[in-house]
Amino acid sequence: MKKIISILGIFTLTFVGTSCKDDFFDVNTNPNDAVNVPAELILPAALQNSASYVSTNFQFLNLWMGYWNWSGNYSINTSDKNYQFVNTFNNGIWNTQYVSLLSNYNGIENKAIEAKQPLLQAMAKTMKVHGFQYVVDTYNNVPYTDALKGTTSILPKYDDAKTIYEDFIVQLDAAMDLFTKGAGGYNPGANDILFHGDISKWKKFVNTLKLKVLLRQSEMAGRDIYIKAQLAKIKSSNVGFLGADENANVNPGYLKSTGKQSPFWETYGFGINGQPVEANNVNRANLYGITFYKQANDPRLEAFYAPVGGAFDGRFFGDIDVLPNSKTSAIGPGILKSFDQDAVLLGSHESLFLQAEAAERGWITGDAKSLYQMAITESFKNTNVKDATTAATDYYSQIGLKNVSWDATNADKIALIITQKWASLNALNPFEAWCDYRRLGIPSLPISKDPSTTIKKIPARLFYPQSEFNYNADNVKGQGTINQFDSKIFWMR
Amino acid sequence: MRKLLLIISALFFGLAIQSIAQDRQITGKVTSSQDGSPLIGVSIALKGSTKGTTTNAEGVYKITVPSANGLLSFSFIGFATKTFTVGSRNVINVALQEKQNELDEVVVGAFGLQKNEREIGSSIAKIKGADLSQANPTNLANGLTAKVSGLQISTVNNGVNPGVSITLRGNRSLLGNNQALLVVDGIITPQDFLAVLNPNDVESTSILKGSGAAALYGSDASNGVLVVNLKKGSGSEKPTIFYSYSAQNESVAYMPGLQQQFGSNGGEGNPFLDKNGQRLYVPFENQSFGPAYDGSLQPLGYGVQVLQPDGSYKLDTLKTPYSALGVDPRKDFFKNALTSQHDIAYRVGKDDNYFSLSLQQVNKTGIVPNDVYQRSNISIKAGRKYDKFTTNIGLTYSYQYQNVAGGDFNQGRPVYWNVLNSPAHAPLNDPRIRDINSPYGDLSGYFNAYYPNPWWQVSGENSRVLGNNYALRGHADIAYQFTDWLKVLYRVGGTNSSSIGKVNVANAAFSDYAIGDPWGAGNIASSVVSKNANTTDVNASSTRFTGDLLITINPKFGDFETSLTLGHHLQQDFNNYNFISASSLKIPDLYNVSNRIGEPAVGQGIYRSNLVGAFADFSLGYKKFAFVHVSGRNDWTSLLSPANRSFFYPAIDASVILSDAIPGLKNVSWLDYLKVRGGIAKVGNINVSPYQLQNTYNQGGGFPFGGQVGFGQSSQQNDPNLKPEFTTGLEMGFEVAFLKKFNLEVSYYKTNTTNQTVPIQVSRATGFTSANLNTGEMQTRGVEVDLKIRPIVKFGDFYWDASVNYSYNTSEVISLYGDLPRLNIPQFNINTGINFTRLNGSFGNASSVFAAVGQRYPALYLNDVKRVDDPANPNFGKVIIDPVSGYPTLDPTLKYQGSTQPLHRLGFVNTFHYKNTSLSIVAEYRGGAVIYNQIGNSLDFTGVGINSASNGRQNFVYPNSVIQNADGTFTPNTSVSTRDGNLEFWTNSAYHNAGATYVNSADFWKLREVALTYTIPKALLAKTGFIKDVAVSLTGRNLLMLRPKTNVYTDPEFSLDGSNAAGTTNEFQTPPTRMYGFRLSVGF
Repeated sequence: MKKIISILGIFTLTFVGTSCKDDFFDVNTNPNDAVNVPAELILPAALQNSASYVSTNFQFLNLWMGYWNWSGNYSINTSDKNYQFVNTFNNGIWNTQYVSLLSNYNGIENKAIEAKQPLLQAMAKTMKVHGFQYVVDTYNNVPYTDALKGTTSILPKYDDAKTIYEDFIVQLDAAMDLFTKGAGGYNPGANDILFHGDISKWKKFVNTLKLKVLLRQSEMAGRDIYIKAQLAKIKSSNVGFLGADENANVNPGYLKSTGKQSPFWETYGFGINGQPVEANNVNRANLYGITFYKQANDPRLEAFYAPVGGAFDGRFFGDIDVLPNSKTSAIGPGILKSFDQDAVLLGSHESLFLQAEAAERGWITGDAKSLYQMAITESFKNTNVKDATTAATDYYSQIGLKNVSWDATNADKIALIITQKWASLNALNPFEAWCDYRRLGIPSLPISKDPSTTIKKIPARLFYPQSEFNYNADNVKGQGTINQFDSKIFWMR
Repeated sequence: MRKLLLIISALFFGLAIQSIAQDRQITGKVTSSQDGSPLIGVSIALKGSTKGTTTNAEGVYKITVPSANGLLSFSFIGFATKTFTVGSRNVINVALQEKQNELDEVVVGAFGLQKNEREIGSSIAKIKGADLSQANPTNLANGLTAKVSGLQISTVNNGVNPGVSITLRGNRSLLGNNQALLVVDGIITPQDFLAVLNPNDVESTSILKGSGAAALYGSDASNGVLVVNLKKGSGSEKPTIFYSYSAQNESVAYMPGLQQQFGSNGGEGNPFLDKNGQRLYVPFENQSFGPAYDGSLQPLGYGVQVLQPDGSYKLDTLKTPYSALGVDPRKDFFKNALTSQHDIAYRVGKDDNYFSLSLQQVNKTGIVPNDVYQRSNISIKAGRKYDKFTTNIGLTYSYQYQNVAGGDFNQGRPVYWNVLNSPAHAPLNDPRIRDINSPYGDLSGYFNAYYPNPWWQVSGENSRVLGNNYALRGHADIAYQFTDWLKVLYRVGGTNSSSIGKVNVANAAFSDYAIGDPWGAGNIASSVVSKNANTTDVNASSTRFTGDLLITINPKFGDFETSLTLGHHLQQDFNNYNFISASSLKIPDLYNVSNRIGEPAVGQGIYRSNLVGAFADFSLGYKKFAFVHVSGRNDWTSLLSPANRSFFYPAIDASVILSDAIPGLKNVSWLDYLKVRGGIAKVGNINVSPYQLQNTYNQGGGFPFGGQVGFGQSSQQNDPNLKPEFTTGLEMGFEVAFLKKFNLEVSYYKTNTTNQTVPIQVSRATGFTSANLNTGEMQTRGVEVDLKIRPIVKFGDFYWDASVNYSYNTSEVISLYGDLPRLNIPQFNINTGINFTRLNGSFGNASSVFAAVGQRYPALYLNDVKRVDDPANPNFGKVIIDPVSGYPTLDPTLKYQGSTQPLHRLGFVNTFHYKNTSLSIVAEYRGGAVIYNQIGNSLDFTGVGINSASNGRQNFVYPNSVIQNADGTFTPNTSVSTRDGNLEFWTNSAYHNAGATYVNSADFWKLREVALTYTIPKALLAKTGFIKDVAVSLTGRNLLMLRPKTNVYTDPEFSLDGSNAAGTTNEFQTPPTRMYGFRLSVGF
């Protein structure tokens, strides 16, 4: 019996001995992925993703907004041509924004608070508003106060869209304060691949976003007092808006390498062997866009579209008699510039058109006409039109030309501004063009020519994504039955 | 020589030979009563003396006995002992009967511990090596299919090295591993090794169905254990050499239902639309929505440029009759494949002194042209007993090579897709199309404007997925028997599997003529213009080391027998992979990443984990009829935080041999035995990969751009406080044998797995796509019945043995996280061919398979067309159609379609013997499951599917449809026809877009194995002097399948991969096949 006991003793020692050696078990340190990354190293990826989101995520809107059309080379689902889409349609607007963008800005904000870095915190706050606005403008009520909390709030409830919009202003005000308060503090500098640490530009960007948020609500009844109060705050900030040569563009140093080219170029342009990528073949010129630029003697025709057989040709969206690529214009060199072109988050032209509209409405001080003309000049510059300033002047000075000349259009300057804004946003920000169209109905875009298009309207919104029906079903169903034509975003008339 | 052998044998048995001059000699031959074959090594003992001998290689023995009154007993493992009075006979020939319905067989249970059948309190099934390999499977798993209850083996694909999924008693874990643990010669071995084991090396397999073995094997045994014991020696002191050769033919068993009525049209406008809106034949279209076949001679494809002797080009077009070809060209594309297999084994010795060497070479070609696979195995095993020391060593080395076709150059589509995108009249196998260098078969000239010639991707080096796998497993143990009741053993084991994979796709270039798109088709050539080659290299290695200390103490106290095993287990796992990929190569045909333009894509993963377990296993037996067995184990793992890393789990089971325990039953003549058993086991399980306790950040989206870095948060939220999940299993059953003929075993079990670790998919608004947390409970219940009848019929030399096994298994999700109604079960990343999921816990694509509260697991959820959903409504379930278009509309809500796990399984194993001939037939039924044939969606889209022609491409009234009235009521639709019954309906309607459209019953009957074997009589062979055994077999596998008529698609056993997300098919499989062939084996 003694033998057993001694053997048991050895046995016990063996396993207890091993189990007590904690270093044997301390092999769970991740050798593959970082687990602690400072906020300033998250910022570049988030900004790059935001710019990529704006410039590549809205192919369908380039079609709906009259810029592009499907190629005859490909067989296209009818549901993509007659607005009878389903819940999975362009889910990326929701999924990418929440998971890849907002969650990272949220992380930056939290880390910046912890590290007492108000400038970084302000940048994150600003970008959160930028991102959330895209989601609200697409889906109306969305998770906001419950959002981005991981498992703490695993079934996030939906917030009222208008309330969210009001919080945008609160957040942007807070960001503005932080930018001021943080002066002299930690500045991410080169890791700020948007403004390279230029805080005055960030402040202008904050005001520009505010203006964009407020202008969305221009057609809402009973909103005047609220809007005026917010405009007063913008004025008192004394920093103005993004102006000429002040593009909110991102460039981390794009490379001629697959996956590292500028997002718009990579998505709609060319592979590194110089051959077109599939989306370049799929997306061709829309006859509506071609006609618009042609009729206005607009040199940007050659910027937005590429000639085919020495001319510009295309078909309307949904036309059955589609043209093969050998007979239709491709995306043009003014927007497909090079593999390392800047990714556009918010172009100077867009900012100036916002200001022109605000000035015309009497919301801000400034000469609407000159802001309008500056906006056109910026658009010419941003699309590489040759001798842009002269060409722009020649262009907007064409006497009596409707849709172009400020003085030729007596009645509705807002329509003129929005029409030219539409002309400048071609493929650069079709989302903003869709918002203007839904707000004001300008320009009068053609409806899909596909014969199965039973409802002759451009949709007002998208359906909530399938992932919400799968993983947050009660909350999404609480939003009622959504109709893509009649269920409106709160700011729509 | 013979005498020497005899002496050796006698010495071996520890029996002294006493030579007494006046004794007389008895001789005789011992044979098997079953088939008359000689039995070698039968022990013959003279009762009451130490005298004894054994039979030689011919079954002949000689023994000297002192008097006529002696009693000779003949005993042999597996046979009933017989005793004879010597009397006056000088020759005693004996026919021994195989033991049947006696409960004392030794079973190799957990950890190689040998246990008597009597004392086992859980369900263990045994399959002999010969029964496994009777129908020439190249993979051991195929040989196990349908042979025992509770074990489900699904071949999820075909191809040269098909994947299998192995589950015992269904699924317990929601998203974790549900596959059975593999133990080879006592060593816990990664399941991948099943593919490299030589089925002919297997002595026996034991299948431990319950979770009771977990105390000894650890957590992974909660899914049951597949114990494989490889052959030791020859069974005698004489060496044997065994050689076998087999050849098998494999051919497509059936294709999906393909329509034979309509040719090509893809909805083209002018000039392919006539004045009346009728679609005309489009010679270059992939979709088959054209006019009905009429037999007229029509062009196929564009005009192609044919080089003339003078250097000029002439335009030419293939002309084909516009009618379906007699032999379907799509089926004909897949060729007959051949598998050949050589086995050589040299074995000598038995029990603890043995040596075994075996070699195997498998060569396979695939049904996809140019797909090949080969495997070479070397296996050595040896053991030696000296005094109180026993040692064993074993080593297996295996090399596998695979070279199969990959995706096409354009969209990376699989071969099957490109074949199915071809109309019924296109002669795919015409030599001019097969030749990818001919003007009609090259990239520029192939008739299909939108999909590449499938011959391109199967030819030469154009698109290859190459795999080299080197697998090494070895073990060594040493044991010391201190006393007759105390033994100590230490065993080390190691496995290493290294894979070197390479994926190449060649460059694609087109003629200027094709790029010019002369027909305005928008062909591939004008879209792609030119494409550079690409290459990806993946190196992966996984290593496991184990060390086990086992102390066995089994003293006997009167009527009580006890056995205590104390053990310590140490396990270290190390996995890593590297990949490097160049998306654009400069010089054609040089598949090296250094030959690239731009930067390469690179990746690396390193994973380590350590585990220590300590356990005690105690069993107590009373009078060999009542047994209690208790075990407990504590594990410590590196995968969890220090606070959670230690966990304990106990088990208890008991068995009683009622037929021995109850005196009244003891003498019931028809009852051979009756045993009842039951047990409860709790198992802790870690379903966590390394490094999953913290959120991670990685550089994605193109970062780094030169010096500019950028990190993003991983889309999975991790939980630092993850704890083990626990499975509690209850099992009870009985075994009864009667009339020396019937053997019935019935088991009932129920397991509950709680606190599951699941990366649940979450609302994206949380900022994550998934969250890894402890939650959820699943309950699995089932009944297993195994009935063996031996023999069912016997007439003279003819007899028929049969066994039937039935399994009922259902898993139900009891709860998930919070109010979450269901969570998605992701599939592996199928494109890389490497299961990164297992390596790094990251997940592949979301599937249509869910774990849903209150539903069977896994549950298929898909969207459907809108239906009347009020059960009280008389039109309940009918499809609501749009009153204008006549089309159904899509309902975005996902709806439960059924479970992809069969509820019932029935296996039949039959063996017919007649003299030297035997016939084995194995059949299986599975029922109560559904399958999502995503491939049906592809077939409708291309217009080649048989369903797409079901209404003759005419507008039709959607069957069982209703129209919703303004007041919310419904009127049956009898008049509104679909706006289109052709391309638009079959490719764009809600019918086509709804997943539920392609859900079918997955029930089937399969004839799994047929093997007809003829063994040449030994008497004939004896004349050769050196050949001892020759057997010839004809074998067939999967010869026949019966399935419901609605399943016109494919084998319902197929799935995207071997993950838990089983039950979806698509074009990444190939059509089902059947195999038949022969086998010749020779023993020396």
